[in-house]
Amino acid sequence: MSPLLFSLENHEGTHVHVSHGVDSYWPFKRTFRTIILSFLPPSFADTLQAVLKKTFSEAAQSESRLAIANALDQMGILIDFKSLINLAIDQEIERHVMETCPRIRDQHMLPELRNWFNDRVKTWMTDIFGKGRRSVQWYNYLLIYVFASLFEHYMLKVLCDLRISELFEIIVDYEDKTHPLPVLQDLKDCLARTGQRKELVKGLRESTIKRLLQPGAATSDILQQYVSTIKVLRFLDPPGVLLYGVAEPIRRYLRERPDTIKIIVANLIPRKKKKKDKDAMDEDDDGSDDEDKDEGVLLDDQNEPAPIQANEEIYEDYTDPAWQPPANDAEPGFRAQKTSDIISTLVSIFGSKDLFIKELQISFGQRLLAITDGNYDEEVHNLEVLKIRFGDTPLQICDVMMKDLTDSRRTDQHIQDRVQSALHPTIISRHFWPSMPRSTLQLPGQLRELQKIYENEYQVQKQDKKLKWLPNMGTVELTVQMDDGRETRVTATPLQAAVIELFSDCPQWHVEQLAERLGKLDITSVALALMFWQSQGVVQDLGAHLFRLRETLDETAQNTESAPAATEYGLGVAAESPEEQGSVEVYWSFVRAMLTNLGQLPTERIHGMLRLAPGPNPTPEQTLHFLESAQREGLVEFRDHLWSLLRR
Amino acid sequence: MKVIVHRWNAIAQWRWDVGQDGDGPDEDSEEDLCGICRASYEGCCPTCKVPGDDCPLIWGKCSHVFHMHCLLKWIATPASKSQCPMDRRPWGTRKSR
Repeated sequence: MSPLLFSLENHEGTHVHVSHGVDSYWPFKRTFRTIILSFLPPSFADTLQAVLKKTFSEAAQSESRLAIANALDQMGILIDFKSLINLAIDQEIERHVMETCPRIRDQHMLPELRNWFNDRVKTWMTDIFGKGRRSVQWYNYLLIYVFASLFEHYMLKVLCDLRISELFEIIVDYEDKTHPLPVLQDLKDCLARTGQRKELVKGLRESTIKRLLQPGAATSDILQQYVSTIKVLRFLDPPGVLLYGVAEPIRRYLRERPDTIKIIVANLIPRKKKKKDKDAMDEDDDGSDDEDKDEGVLLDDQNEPAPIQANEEIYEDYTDPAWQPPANDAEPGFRAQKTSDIISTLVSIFGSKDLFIKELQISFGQRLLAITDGNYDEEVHNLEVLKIRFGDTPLQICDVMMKDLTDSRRTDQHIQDRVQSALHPTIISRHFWPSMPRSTLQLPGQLRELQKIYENEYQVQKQDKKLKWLPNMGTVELTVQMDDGRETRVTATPLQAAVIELFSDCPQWHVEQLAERLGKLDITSVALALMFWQSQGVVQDLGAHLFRLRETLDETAQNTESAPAATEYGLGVAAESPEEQGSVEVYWSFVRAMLTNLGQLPTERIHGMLRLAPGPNPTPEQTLHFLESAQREGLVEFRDHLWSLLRR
Repeated sequence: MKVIVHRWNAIAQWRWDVGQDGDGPDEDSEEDLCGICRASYEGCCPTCKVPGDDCPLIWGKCSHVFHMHCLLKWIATPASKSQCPMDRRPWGTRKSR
């Protein structure tokens, strides 16, 4: 810096001498400027910039700034480097913002930045331009004021750009904060000054498409991000012009996802468990809160449930005294949404409510049937809430479901008063429930007896009606008492119950026989039920599709010798603990049953079926590992991507 | 070995007993519809919202079965001449079967 200053001072001397005559002053100045500018080496601009930069960083050196500015001014060339000076200020602002602001979410940066600006930049400008500079006198203070506001504007723009580029992450972080983060307030203030709304829409739209709307993203995550986006953009821009621009691709994408409706509906109905947990955990620490987050996240809406707005209406309501024209940067299709209700917005993705109602009915039906303790209060409440949203008429069907349940309970009580029965059926109106899977299952033995007794009693109660069972639905709680005194109490499916019921007549069954006897079922589902009992230690696999009751434990010991158990073939390789050993056995009998019945299967199929097996679910790798070890043992072979059983 | 059933939560559908005992796959066959409103017996007549006992059936002596509301409405019109809409025989309600 010093040689430069030195040379400037030399010139200054000349200047002071000659500048007295008023007439000759201007022409002289012009000539002098021309000469001195032509004298300056090309590197001068760069050097000057570097020097200016340096004067920024050291706050105390007000004198050196003054010296430079004075020198430039006295030579009359301050104006010539005005753009250079501006650039220096711009760069300084950028540097400072990028140094202090990125990734800061929980703090208002704007006041701090403004302080810094007044403190540093304004002082600097005053030093350079102010203090009675001769060539800039005429606009001195006014100029500083105007310039300062221009630079402040630039500072806001830099911050705004930064925040726009971060907005996607900000929205990701937004998730469950109910109060807008300070960072959003900053962004809002910046936007109000800089008007970078178009840039915001463009930037956020791009990052959303690039980072969110990908096949790899779970639909629930996309919905979550959409909801957060709605909240954030509503905060930034209440009329929703920004949102409209950003939401469009998300909505279009969600419309194409097959499970969108299902997930929205699942979130429309509050989870029963969650609520209870919350009550219990009120005094608890926050640690467990994180676990709830995943379920029902979309509905952290604090609002009272409101009717879903009819978004189908095409015309705006101009008679509304609060009507306002859309903002002037609104896209052509934009219509102001009166409601800020998030659920309405989600439902409107699909244009009409019908699809939701259908899905709601299905999910409602499934939930009701899953209730076995007769406590429907929660669901009644849910239904009320849903009715407020969707209106009474579409949910009429759910009312009928509800009524079926209460009627069933009443009928059941009457019947139980007359004949004690373990059977407690839910009697439903068939056209008002989601369609149920049909089954040809015919229940044997005491199960059929129970049904018959109940049927007859029902007809006594309701003379005009009769019952038609859905035999494969529901659950049976039962105990299997073995002759050696072992007892196994389980909750089984009706099919599983039917299978074990048959074993009480005859201790040994062939899979095909069982399937035939139970009403021509497919063998796989019977095999699945057998697996269940095998894992309970009630039956054992004798090989060749034969299953036998494990009547006593010693018999078991004998039979393991004769029966080809998986462990004999060293399939225990994959197993490390006794339990895993057990599951390997189960897997093997499962795989064998599968391959016997279905012939050849690809690995993925086998893996899919193994997940139905009792015990821990194997990962695809474990399945493959397991199959490979079976192959090494010569039990199965792998050809053309298909596994098949090697007959021995 | 013995199996003891403690509690069985089953699911069943109710059906109107319209005389045919066929448990077969006659799910939505013609027989299951009310001849007047063409809705299923287990559904409800056009004016009702809740099926079952709130929208019962009526059994005619002529063996035809309708939603009660449907038939009463029909009988109330002068054009019906109190005849069964299916076979034009004078309508008589079967009390018990």
